[in-house]
Formats: sequence, structure tokens, C-alpha cells
Amino acid sequence: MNPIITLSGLKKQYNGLYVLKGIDLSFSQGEVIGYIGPNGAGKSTTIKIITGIIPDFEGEVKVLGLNVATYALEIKKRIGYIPEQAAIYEVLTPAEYLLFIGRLYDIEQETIKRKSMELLRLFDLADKSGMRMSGFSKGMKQKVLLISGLLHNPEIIFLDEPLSGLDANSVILVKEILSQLKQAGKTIFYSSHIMDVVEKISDRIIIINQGQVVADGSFSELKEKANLGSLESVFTELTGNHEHHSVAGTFVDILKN
Amino acid sequence: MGKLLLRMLSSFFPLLRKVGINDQQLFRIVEMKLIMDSRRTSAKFGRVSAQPGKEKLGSGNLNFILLIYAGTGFFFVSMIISNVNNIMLPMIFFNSYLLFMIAMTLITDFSSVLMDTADNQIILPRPVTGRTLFAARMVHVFIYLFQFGMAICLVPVTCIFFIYGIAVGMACIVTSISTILLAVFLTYCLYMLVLRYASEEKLKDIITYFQIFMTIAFALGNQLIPALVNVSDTLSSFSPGPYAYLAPPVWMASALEAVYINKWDALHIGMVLLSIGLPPVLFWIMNKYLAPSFSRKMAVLGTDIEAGVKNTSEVRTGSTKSVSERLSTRFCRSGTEESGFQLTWKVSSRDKQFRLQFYPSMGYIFVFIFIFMFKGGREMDTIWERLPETNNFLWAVYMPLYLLLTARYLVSFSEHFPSAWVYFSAPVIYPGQLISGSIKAIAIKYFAPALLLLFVLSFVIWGAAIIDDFILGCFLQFNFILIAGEISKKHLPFSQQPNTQQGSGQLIRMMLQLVLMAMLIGLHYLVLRFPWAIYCLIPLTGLTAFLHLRRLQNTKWPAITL
Repeated sequence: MNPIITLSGLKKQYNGLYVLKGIDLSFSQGEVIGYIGPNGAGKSTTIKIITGIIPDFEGEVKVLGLNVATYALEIKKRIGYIPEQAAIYEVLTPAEYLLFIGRLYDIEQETIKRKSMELLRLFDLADKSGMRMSGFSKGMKQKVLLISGLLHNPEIIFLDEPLSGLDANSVILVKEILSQLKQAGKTIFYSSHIMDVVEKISDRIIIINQGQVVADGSFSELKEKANLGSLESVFTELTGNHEHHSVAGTFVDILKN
Repeated sequence: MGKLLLRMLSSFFPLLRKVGINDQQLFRIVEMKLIMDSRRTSAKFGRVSAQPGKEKLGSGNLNFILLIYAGTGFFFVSMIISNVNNIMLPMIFFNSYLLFMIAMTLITDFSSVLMDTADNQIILPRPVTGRTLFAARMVHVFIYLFQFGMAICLVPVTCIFFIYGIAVGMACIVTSISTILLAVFLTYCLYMLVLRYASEEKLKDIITYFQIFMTIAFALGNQLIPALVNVSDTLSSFSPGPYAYLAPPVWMASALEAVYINKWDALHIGMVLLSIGLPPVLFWIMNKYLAPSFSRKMAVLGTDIEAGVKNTSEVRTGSTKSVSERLSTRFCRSGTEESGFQLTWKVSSRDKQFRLQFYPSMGYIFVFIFIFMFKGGREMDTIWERLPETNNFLWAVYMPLYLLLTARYLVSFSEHFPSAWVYFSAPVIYPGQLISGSIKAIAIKYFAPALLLLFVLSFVIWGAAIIDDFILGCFLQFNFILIAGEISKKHLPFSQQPNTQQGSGQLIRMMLQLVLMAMLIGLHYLVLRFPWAIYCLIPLTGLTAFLHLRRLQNTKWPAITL
């Protein structure tokens, strides 16, 4: 099967400093990819390059067989992106916001309204569809953001910390949605710090550190390779952060003084 | 009004397809932005506003600004009436003014909209090209500028209709629209030309310096046009100088003259073609050659990589104290006030929106001092020689107040206004101290250096006699800013959400502030007649400034506007 996404020699520098130092990866259709790494490792930059948001980079990136550098617009029509921060026009209501986003994808107004209401209802937001989002909690905004990224039924879904701020029920619901999207043949690129979720939903886990891929495989493969029990332990081992215990101890000591 | 204009403009949108702009998306983005402009939120966190119902900045504010702009049009009525036989002269002045006002409004009030990166996360992941997004920003700004332009034109154009007839009146509408378009496209082209050669990381710094430069250039250019056109003592003998034909207002005036006297020689036809043809040419150049690289650079701004890399050079070790920390300890009376001081000091240097709106005002104060000091229609060297005999140093004394007022207004707004939750979660008893700390930071960071520089320049010209005037002026200005703070809404620093309508009154606000400053100068001028009075007023105004500051510092939560 042809890969649905390929990254060849992907580098990105800013101000003379490389934040991505040459990434070579390829993904197949229907895969759920857990993309993890410490803060500043280059996760969001990779996603923004693949989704055509950052246009200047070195190397080659192909999505759905199209070169991102040339066909960013075509690719954007067929993918969905849910950013880490709840970047949203808060002065709008969820209904207004989703209508605005839907129209940017050229979806019919009636279809947007119908789908929006149904999806908002699933997330218990139907009664708030006419309220401005400035008063919404982080989790409520995240739900609207999630709907806005999936409204056009994308083939590949990029999620950057999608569970951030969601309540327990919503987390379970989103995990279930992702699982069913996978069954429907969607490719999911999932970036998160919540290891147990990544561990449970991903077919393949990629760990990135300081702009380079340090591990790539299924959870069982990584576990076997590192000879450790959980993804959190594997992550700690591969990213070289072994001092959590002593840092935490020092932190509490400083508070006491 | 904005929506109506958008609908009217949208009939031209299909033409934009040829330069790679999606007209449907363009319409939707601008439509949404106009909706958002009419709404605003601030960080309240469950607290009740001190002025309920007044916190929204709706169309009332915009209407007031439009009214002021329309009022300025009356200046041209007498000029038009007294020059019935010579349409050129009043129209050159009018179009110069229109060009100046629109370009300056764009630079002062709307640069932040052009450089807005808030859209990057929301719109750029969608199938929208950078070109379409850029065009949307431009149309969004143009809708406001067009309204301001029409307000300025209302009275003079009506006057033209009555005096010169329907044909000239209609032509005047066309040339006025052309002037507005020219001002917008010319300013955008200059912006993007400069930014084309700047790297992403330098972009924000360069644009702020460029704004100051543009402010000075446009303001001086507006003053130079009368000199270029050779206005002789008798207005009837007026004729444009040879270089005058380089100035766009002269093209517009010549085009109107062609219609009025029905003269269609090569010169007049050329002027008509230039006045109508240049705006679309500039638009084409802008979209074809300048917008793509600008959009690429804008896409990177505001992303985590930019922030992450840039912050690496700003690491400060905990052992050293920054300038603001040292100054706040010296000038503030409590931890709360120190916080307000440090936050304002640091954010005002780093916040892109603040810098984009505030930095042009630094250019303005020097331009206006120059204009006011050297006015009077005499030769420059004569004015310079006689300067020490005048009281024009008073402009230097009071012009820094403009910086104080502008910065005081702008520090209320921030894109990161929800961060103001910290004020509510911290055990702050007197939130007024956050405001007083903020005012102190502005005064020390912007007002004091400007006043000191102007004092040194004035000292060289007028000598030691002006020292007491500067001291009195300084105290009076502190009184002014503190009283203004007391009677207006008390917003906490960086706690209000900015939007386009809020930003759009900047230039006109400046003009009103100039009137207030002129009143203060008038008062001071009266005091100059009684030399002993100044020595009574210095301690008195010093004391009242101190008392006003104490009053502000003791302000409690119920008096704060949330």
C-alpha cells in the first residue's frame, strides 16, 4: 500500500537554530500514530509543516500523494487539524463559529447547521450553541474545536493534545470517536503528553527528542526494546530525563524555605 | 454600515479571482470579522463591572469617530467658497488632507490588524491561501477607512456639488475614492516592500521603526505640499510648481479642473489617467509581487518555534535585577504597585499590538512640535532666529502628555486579556495600585525620557529661564493624567480585549488630545504674565498630583471597571 504521508529529510530552522534536524517517516492509511516528545522537541512544528501551515522548510513532505510545498490548499481540504491551544474566536457562538469554518470548506450552510447541532448535542453543548464562547470553560472550547476540525469529514486527522481540559466523560467519548474513525479507515496523527492514552489508542508510537526521531514502533515493540513496563518509562528512558524524583524533591524543599 | 459596504464591495470581488484570491472565502472571513468587531469581552471572572452596560464598545464609538472626521471637513468649506474661480487650490489642499488622514489612520490605528497573527491558528489550517487571508485583512481595514474617508468628504463634496455642479461633484466623488484607495495601497506597498527584505525575527522590530518613519514622512509631506504648489499672495494667480505634478493630490485636483473647465489637453488627460489608474496598478503589484512573501512570513509569526527560539536569547538569571525591578522598588509603595509597574514596563516592550499602536505616537510628538513651532508662514531661518523671543517652548513642555495619554489608554488592552485572572486570584485589596504602578511605569519609561530630551533642546534655545516652566508643566501633566484616570473608566492593565473598532479611534483621539494640550498651554501662557504665580503653582500642583496619586492608590474593587 502506498504511504499516505511521507517525510523525507525534513528540517526546519529558525533564527539559525534547527528545531527539526532531519526526519524521515512514512505512514499508511488507517494507522493511528502517537507522536510524543518533551516540550520543544518539535512535535507541533512537524504537524504544522505536514498540515501546510508552515510553508518554509527543508526536505520533502507528501500527504495523500501530494507535495505539501506545492499543493497545500488541496491537502488542507482533505485533512483535519485540531491545535493544542483552544484557538477560537471567543466572541462568536459555537453555531456561528462552526458555520464560519464549514463555509471555508465550501460545505452547504444547511449541512453545516444540521451536522453542527447534532455534534454539539453529542457533546452536551446544544443548549449553548447560541451563547458566546468567551464564557466557556477550556473543555467546552476544546469540544467546539474538535467539531470544527472534523466537520468536513477529513481523511487524515491531526490532533495536538485533543484531550486537554476535557472532563472524564468527554475523554472517554473522544477516545471512542477516535477508535471508530480508525475503523472507518481514517489516519490519525495524535500528539499528546498523556502517555496512557497514547499507549492505548496508537498502532504506532514515534518518540521525538530535540528535533530527531529517537524511537518508532508499536507499544509492544518499544516496550520490548527498552525492556520497560510502561510507555512513560520508555519515554523517560529514551528522552534522557531520569531526574524526575530528585527534581520533585528539590522543588518541595525550595517551597519549604 | 460595515456590512452594507462589504456587500457593495463584494460585487467587485470576482475580479480578484484573477490574482488568486478566493472571493467566497474572502467575503466570509470579512463578514465574520465585522461581527466580531461589534462584540467585545473583558476579563471579569465573575465580578460585577463598576459601570454596568457601558463596557461594550459598539457602534456608538465608531459613530462618534465618524462625526469628528466629518467635522474636520468644514475646514475646507470657506476655502472652496472663496476660490470659486480656481478649483485647483482648494482641491489640492483637500486631497492632501484626505490622503494624509487615511494613510495616518491606517498606520496608527490599523497596522495591528495587518500584522494580526491570531488568525494563523484558526484560518491557516483551513483551505485558505495566504493571499486570500491577506486580502481579507485589507478589505476589513478598507471598510473602516472608507467610512472615515467618506465622513471627511461629506461636507466638502456637498459643497462642491452646490458650487460647481453635478458633473464636478460626481467627479469629486470619484477622485476622493481614488485618493482613499491610493492612500491605502501606497501605504500597504511601502509596508510590504520594507518587510520583503526583513527576516521573520526582525519583522516586528522593523515595522515599529518603519511606523515612526512613515508617521514623520506623511506628516511632513502634508506640510510640504503647500510649499510645492507655490501659493502666491493672491490666490487667483495660483499655479502649480513644476514638481507639484509628482504629488497625487495635484493629479486629483487637475482631473477635477479638467471636468470643470472642460479642458482635455495632454496634461489634463494624463492627470485623469494617473488619478484613476494608479490605485488598481498598485493593487496588482501588491498582490502579485509583495503579498506572497508577506503571507509566508506572517504564517511563521506567532508560532511556537518562533517564540521558543526567540526566548532563548532572553534568559535572565535570578541573581540579577532588571531595570524595571530596580525602578519599581524605588518608585512604588507596595508589592501590588510594583507588580503593575513591572508588568506594564515589560509587556509594553514586548507586546506586538501595543508597540504597533503606540510607537507611531513617538513620531507624532516631534512632528507636531516642529509644525507648531515653525508655523506662521515666514521663512524657516527667520522663525529660527526669532524662536528665543517666543513662548513656543510650551509645545515642548506639553507634547509628552500625548505619550502619557496614549500609553495609558493602550495598556488596558491585550490579546492575552484572559491572563488578567491573576488580579482576581491574588489577594489584592487595592487594585488601584495596579493602575498607579502602571501609570508610573509609563511615566518613567516613555514620558520622562521624551520630556528630558525636549527640555535639553529647549534649554539650548531658551536658556535656564524655562526650568521652572518645565517643572510646572510636568506637575500639571501628572495632575491631568491622574484626574483623567479618576473620571474615566478604571481598567486594570492588559485586562480588556482589543478589537478593530477600539483601535480605530486612535488618530482622532490624538487630535482631541491636541486640543486639550492646547488648552493647558493656554493656561500656562496666562501664568507667564505673572512670574510670581509660577512659584506658587509649582508646590501647589506638586501637592495635588501627590494627593490624586494617593486617591488612585486607595481605589478598591467596586470602583474598577471590569
